[in-house]
Amino acid sequence: MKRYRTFMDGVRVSDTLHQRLRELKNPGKRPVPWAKYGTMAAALALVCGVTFMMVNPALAKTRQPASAPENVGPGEPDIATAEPVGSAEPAPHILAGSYEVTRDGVTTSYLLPYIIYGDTGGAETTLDWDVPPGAVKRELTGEDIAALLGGEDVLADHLAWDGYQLSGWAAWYGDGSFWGAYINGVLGYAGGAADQFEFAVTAGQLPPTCIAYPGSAEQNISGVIVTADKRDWETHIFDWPTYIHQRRVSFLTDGYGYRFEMSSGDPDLAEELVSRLVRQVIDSGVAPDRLSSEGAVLAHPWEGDPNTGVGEPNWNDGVPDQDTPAYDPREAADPPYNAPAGYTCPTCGETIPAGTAHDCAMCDSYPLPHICEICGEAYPEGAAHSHEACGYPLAPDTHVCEVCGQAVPVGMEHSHQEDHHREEHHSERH
Amino acid sequence: MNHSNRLEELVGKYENTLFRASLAILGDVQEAEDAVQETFLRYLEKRPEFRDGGHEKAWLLKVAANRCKSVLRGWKRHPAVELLDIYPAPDDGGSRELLEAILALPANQRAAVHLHYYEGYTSEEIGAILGQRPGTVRSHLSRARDALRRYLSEEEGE
Repeated sequence: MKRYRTFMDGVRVSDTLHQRLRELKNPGKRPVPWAKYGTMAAALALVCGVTFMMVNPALAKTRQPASAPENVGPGEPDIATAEPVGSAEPAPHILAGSYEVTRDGVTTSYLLPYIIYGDTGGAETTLDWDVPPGAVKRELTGEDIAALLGGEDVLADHLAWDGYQLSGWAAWYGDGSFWGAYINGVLGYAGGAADQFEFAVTAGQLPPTCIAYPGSAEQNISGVIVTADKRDWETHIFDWPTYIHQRRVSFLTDGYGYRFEMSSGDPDLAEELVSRLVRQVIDSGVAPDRLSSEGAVLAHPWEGDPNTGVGEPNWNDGVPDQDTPAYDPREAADPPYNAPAGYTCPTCGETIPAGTAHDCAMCDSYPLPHICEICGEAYPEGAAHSHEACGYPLAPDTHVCEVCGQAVPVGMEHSHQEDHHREEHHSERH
Repeated sequence: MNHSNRLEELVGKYENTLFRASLAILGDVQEAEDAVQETFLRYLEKRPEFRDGGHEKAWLLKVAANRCKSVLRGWKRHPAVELLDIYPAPDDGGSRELLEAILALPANQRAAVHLHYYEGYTSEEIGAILGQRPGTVRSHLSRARDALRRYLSEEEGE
């Protein structure tokens, strides 16, 4: 890589940029890159406004005049435009930018509403909630999630959820009517500075949450009162500083309540995804009627047992199978993995398959994966992990166990009683 | 030291580091300049306290990398202006091909290659900067090495 280093040594900032950097100040309004596209942005905004008005008259009504992007960039609150809740007419909002979708050779621009987030100041309140008695529940597939939100193209083009690993569940009342759905999306490393979100929709009410934050800001976006809050904090990964930026909105429209919470190392990205979600849902809503309750099981299988009530289960009092030892989700990382059939985690609401572990201590809503110490790849419980899959090259002095696929250095004892599988096996090769 | 002097010190120290990293990830001079400017603006907004020089540099690189990721996310196509037209490769019979091969790598691999081979970071450190698992970084480096093997073997032979 000597040539690469030589080349890069010759790359230096221009005098113009150097001067610009030296003169930077911390302004109330940041000179974001949009500024250089000022004229173009103004013209684009005008075109977008017209286009958007055609595709979305409801939101187009609230657009700022065409010069807005010239004055304020993304992530740039202009408090003067904050609209008091309850005003008769929606006041114009500054835009948070736009995005384009091209279909069949036609490109349409969509304008994003700017959202003002109240600062929670780090305070929070823990709440308990549960699905109603008699409700049935099932996991959602990727197709279900796409159907609920309006299709695969909506996920990719409008919500920008492409690349996120999606999971979730939906619940229905005993009479079969839709109660609500919770969807999680994770991009990248779940234990680190991953981008992740939770989207929830419930019929007729705001989705219940287990943590409430004071200090939310309310605003009127296209006639919908949107409550928004933010939290920013620093954490450390491998002793390196990592900033996490969480943005959250909740609102009620067209008979459904919504909550969307996005966490990212990049606050602009977090806000863009929230704005996209708000725009999409206010514009098009969701389609719970496209979800079938077929295959859903009682959310509280112990209902009807006189020894138990509805709510958080007490495994010492009314567990269907008394031979099954009590399952404490907070000990899930420690075998035995003995979740009873139909168990729903009281902390995160996840339905846990029988006999599997669940990382409830983190409330991440998905089972603990195993992480290969050599390549860092995550793989599920009981599955063999092969380095052919992850592509990490094996060092010459490394053996691969032909039973489980695990790679181990020469001379190291390898036992199949390791956490990632439980076969009674010991390879003499290692 | 007041903030103005502090900024000037940081600009003098890291402007080229941030610009090279941004350029390596984005391959676009204009966008890389914007990423550098945004990084220093973020510094002015946050005014973080740094433990030491390593922490300071890593923080700035992390912010720049995040900015680059945002830019990449919004791109529909690659930049029209070729980087090597602006910064010509040395005419030594091989550099241009190597650089073209590096620039043809996916952005996450280019980022890992630059931070590892140019800045000298370990995969753990790169993982912290890019918000990825160290194993993922190693995987990116491995795939990049596979793609660049011909050039690397030539260099090793020199």
